[in-house]
Amino acid sequence: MNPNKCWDFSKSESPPFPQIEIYLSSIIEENYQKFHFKIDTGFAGTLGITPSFIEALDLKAFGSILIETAIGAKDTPYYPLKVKSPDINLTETLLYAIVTPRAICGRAFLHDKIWLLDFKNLRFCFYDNKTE
Amino acid sequence: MATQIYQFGQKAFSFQDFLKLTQFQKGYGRNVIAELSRKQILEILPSKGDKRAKLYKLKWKTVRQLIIEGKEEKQALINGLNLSKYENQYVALKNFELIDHDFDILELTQRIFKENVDADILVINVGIPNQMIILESE
Repeated sequence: MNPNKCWDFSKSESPPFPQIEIYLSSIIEENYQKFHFKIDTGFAGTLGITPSFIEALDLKAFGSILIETAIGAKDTPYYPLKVKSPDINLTETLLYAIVTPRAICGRAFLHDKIWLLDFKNLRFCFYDNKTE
Repeated sequence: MATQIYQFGQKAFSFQDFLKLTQFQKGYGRNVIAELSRKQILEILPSKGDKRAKLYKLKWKTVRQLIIEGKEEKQALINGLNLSKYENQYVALKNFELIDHDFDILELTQRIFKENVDADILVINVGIPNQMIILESE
């Protein structure tokens, strides 16, 4: 079984941390830009974005939701946005993001796809379900 | 705060209507109205007949923005709109009315913004969400 796409994360930081590229756009006016997200399986949501992403895409918050963090529960702004990623055959999809200290991609985003976290070769790979 | 005030929704109301709903004493009620006006949650409508009989209306845009900024109005709105039957869910509101709800925020997001984007929509949780977003690494 061969992966469809792998991301080399050997140079991203030390200790190495897997990351992938995702295109994001505002839901109000289409303005796709490419961003890098760290894979964080400790995050149950879809995407965590930093204030610089919000500024770059001129994102508008559409709510406030309660999340659970290591130091307790807190309200955080909720940003619906459009997402696509040709690398993982993800066509334009409506998702949401919350603000996090760094850009992360969580379990709700990784859900329903096959991934390989390869720390031996320092790469993170995506397998299309069809190759199962 | 008089959470019941959110029951007026988009309808105009008088000071007497407000006192009847809240059962507040006149003096206290006047202070509450003044405080809500100061926060720009209430607007005073132009009077048609008796100029002493002011009419008030809630401003959804202000309430929505205060909630997004994390101010205390979130719980007041939930209580005032009697959203307790949606406990542990996420709700989408517009102009003080429920438009959709779901335990799964992703499914709710994909339904409410599917056709067009309405800038007045507000999404919040009611109580502790059953499918709460957990962020272990922060």
